[in-house]
Amino acid sequence: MFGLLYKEVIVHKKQLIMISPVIIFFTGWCIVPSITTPDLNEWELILVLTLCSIMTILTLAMLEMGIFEADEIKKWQAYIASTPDGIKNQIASKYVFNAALSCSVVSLLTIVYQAAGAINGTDATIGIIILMQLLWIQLLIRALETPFIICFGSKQGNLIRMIIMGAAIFAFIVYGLFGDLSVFGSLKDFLEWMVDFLTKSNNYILMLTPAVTWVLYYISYRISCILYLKGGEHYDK
Amino acid sequence: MTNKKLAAKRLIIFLLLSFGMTYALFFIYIINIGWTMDSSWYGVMTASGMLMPAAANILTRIITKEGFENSFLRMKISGNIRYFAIGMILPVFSGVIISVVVCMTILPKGSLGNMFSNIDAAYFFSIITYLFGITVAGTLFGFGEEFGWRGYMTPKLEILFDSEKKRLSQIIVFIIGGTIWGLWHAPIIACGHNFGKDYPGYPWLGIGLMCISCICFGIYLTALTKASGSVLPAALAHMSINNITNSLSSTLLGNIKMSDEIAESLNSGFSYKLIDMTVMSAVFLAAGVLIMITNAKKKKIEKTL
Repeated sequence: MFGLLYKEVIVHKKQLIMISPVIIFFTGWCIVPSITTPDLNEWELILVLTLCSIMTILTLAMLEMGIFEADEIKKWQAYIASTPDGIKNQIASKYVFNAALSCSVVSLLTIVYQAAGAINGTDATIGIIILMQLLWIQLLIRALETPFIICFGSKQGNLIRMIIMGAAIFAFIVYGLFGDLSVFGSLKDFLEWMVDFLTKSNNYILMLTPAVTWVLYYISYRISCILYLKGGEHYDK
Repeated sequence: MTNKKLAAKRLIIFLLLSFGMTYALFFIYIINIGWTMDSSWYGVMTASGMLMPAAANILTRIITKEGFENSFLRMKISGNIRYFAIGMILPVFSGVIISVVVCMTILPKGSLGNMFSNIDAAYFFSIITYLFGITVAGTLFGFGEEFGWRGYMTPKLEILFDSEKKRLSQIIVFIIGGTIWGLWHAPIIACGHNFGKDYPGYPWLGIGLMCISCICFGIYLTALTKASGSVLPAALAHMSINNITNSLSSTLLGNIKMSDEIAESLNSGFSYKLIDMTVMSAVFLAAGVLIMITNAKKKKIEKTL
């Protein structure tokens, strides 16, 4: 398993090197306003940190989405299937690589956010809470899409993902047209509503989200193990 | 160069780097902010500091051209799940035991019944699942320390104090390793971490107690590392000790209806913190010894087969 994880790092070395400066840029970007604008208020800092979180998570997603493509070769699949616990280890290495990458970047970002708050003299806790929610969303998306990618191969799996994302965007637009938009009155109102929701005591949704995410992530891994051999039909020789 | 001399040289380089980098961070903090935890920078310093032993491990291996063999990064999940589970669940028990002991010793009579009768099961369950979730996500920080202390320092100490009396040399390794680890925490203890500042013999008594606690925690975390052959269960266990134990005991004790005066004395008093660390040390020491005994028996059976 450790060998397969090491293989993931080696195979995605270029991508890791390519995304590192982007992540460093966004990380630096969240510190800069605190240094250049000393009178930055708490809301402005939350907005900066939220944008930085979104951009970092999206950058990570770009790498994580392509993680299966490298191994979509029939020979490799046959070899892995012939080794003891090979399928389990192959799939686990992908899941662990994804989760470890996301969690490590988010953990390092929490340090930077605390520093941004400390420089600015405001509390960055809300920024960290938002970042954590984005991490759970990221892991949930990976948990949902990975079995499809495993079962249908990257090309068709990506198509299915596009359809799901299209449906989500469509639902968002429909809500935008006909739903209750009073909470989005202004950017500040929206942020206030979001902060209120995130800091509400006894918020069971927020408290259960981390555990539910990890459980779904594990279930997704088990499903992917079952579907792995089926995906071979869509692979190159 | 003999094996012991080489291990000593490498260990000294590791300790210099680990202590040097961490103390440099705190030196900057203390010069600018002072001996206090009441600063937003405190979190930045402690979180960054936790990553320094791992950085020191990597740097030492590069400087001494040791390579990355025996780095305890092997991750065989099947067969080792129990060690991850122990690492996650034990702090929950520890948190409950701390609350019970605090109720029976410091708080007025009837507090124990009061605490358990006021528990909101749904809230309690949610808190535990939340703590589990964020602990897994934050394992990097636990890994930062464990990769250094258990993944590098302990094996080197074992080579250094290797003798025919295996048990004695193991005990010496635990005592010296725990003391080094405790001393590494000295700046944050002086800032009021774990014991506060309002106690007799501040900060030396706190640092001494931290060294004793670190010996106990070290035994537990080393046992997990040796039994699984990887620092990852220890990293997860370290994070759950940091995240779960105190949060859970605070949540449980928060159920007790008590006067503001008692609540204030509980939060700031030394006796609560002393009980907290004593119970934690005892629980993890017992768990560590049990894991080691079970592991030794398992190895004995494997050998005879």
